[in-house]
Amino acid sequence: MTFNIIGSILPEVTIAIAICIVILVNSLVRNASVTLIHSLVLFFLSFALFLSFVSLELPDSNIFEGHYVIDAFGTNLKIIALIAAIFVHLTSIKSKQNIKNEIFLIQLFATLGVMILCSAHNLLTVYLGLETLTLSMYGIVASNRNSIEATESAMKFFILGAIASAIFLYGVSILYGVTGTLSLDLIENSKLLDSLEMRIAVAFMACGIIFKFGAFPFHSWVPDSYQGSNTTAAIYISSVPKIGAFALIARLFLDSLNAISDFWSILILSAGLLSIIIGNMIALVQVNLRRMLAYSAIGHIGFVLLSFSIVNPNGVSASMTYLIMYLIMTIAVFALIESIASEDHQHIELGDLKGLSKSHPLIAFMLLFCMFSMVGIPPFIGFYAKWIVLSELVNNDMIWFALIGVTMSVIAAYYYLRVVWFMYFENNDQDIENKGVINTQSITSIMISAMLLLIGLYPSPVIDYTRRIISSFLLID
Amino acid sequence: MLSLQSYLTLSAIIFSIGITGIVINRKNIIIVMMCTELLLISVNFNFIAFSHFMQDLAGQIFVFFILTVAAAEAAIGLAILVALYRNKKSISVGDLNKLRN
Repeated sequence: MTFNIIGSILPEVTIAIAICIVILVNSLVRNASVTLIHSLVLFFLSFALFLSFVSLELPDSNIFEGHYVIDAFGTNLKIIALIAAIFVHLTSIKSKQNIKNEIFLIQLFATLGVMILCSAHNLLTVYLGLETLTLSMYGIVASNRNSIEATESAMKFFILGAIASAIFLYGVSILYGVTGTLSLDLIENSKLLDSLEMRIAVAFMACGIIFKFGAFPFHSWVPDSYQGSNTTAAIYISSVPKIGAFALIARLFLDSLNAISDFWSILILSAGLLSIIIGNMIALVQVNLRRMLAYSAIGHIGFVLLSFSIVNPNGVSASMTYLIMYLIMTIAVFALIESIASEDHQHIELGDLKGLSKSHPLIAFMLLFCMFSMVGIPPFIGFYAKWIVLSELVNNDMIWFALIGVTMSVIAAYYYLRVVWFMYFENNDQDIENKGVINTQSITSIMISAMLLLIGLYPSPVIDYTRRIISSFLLID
Repeated sequence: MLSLQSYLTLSAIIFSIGITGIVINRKNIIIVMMCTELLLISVNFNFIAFSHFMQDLAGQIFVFFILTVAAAEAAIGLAILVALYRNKKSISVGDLNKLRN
């Protein structure tokens, strides 16, 4: 019996063991090299990924008294999170840099938090997973502790995060009072689901979830932490935690609180719509590349939420498709930025991209791919992501929202294509040196960017995959 | 015997004090952190009141977890604060202005 339970949570156990081993190696081995830590982390992440693939075969089950659920939806989200974590890890491999070993350890903690969130089926486990993720994210943002910008953004992120998780908890406490249970299974049996108190609780919890996504009313931490921290941190917080937030919103709102979906879908819809508008508008005036990408990420997350608020299986699977494609795009673009950022020059302004097509032709070309993909130009994946979301909106009589989405994408083309303009049509005044450095990092970033085009040419597997997962998730109850 | 309503009102008041303290405070980050603790305390209050009046232990167990996580959160917050003070020589909220649009 015990063995069965441990067997079904083997991926999480692997990550937990990896954390212990990395801590031990870091403190016991004198001058543990970055390469050693890298290979350890990479090995354990891949092993956990393998175990998650194996546990896809397991039957659905509730373990730990219903606190934790093993199902296809959770396991698939874990697989996506682990793949994203592996790619993030690969892109942060750089021979000469002053990144501390601890950041990889904290990333493992955050990945564990995401995995717990993917399977949590009780508000207590949800809270613990959420806090494992959030507390590690503070550490990731603050990891560059000698820089004023990094510590300042970490402090802002900490204050906002503490408020957001307190608001989420207040909602949880009201929900506990109304329904009398913390189990996500039993919430839907409550007779008071349609009461005012329940709506207040849902609104409070929605605040916490929207903060985790980094969408409009609670978006102010996103640009600060992307800009202030180093790129290794930015690439992580822009990708993996969003999967945890998606799992949370799907399990809590879509599954347990489906009875009042017309209330929370309005909240999510307005957050998504305003994120698209605000994110893309403010991104127009940014000069710092990472800050611009942060606002564009807010816009992309707006699309995810907008499509989630349709609530039916097609809308939610479109939302998940957009999320996956957003993850690929964001990891690719940050990886490329990371590979051109030099050690003492982490804050890339748009002007620094001048003449990049001459100094780093291949990276500039791949960055061109990424920008085209983010605009939504076919045949890149960004086009399919936007297309599937917009077509679902039109199918569900939300044409006006689709129109706003299209308009904002057109406006967004301005700032994405400005990057391309700087790379290809502006000349650098300083003498151009063709560096042509090929390291693991540029190989990885080029690999991921090539994925942009490949999946863009043949996107149907991803779309079918999300459809299958979401319909199996919604069929269970 | 106090009613459930009085407990909930008190908890809502504590929560509002916490939020107000964070919003209007311009001087000291430590006060902001104290206010976030207040927010969590009000949540604990809610949980204990509900748990007592519904005769259900789950709420009180949740409180233990909240207390533990709050301690961890405060530790991380203070660590960030120390790093910030080393770089900036100031812990005023108004000085957090290096990152702007």
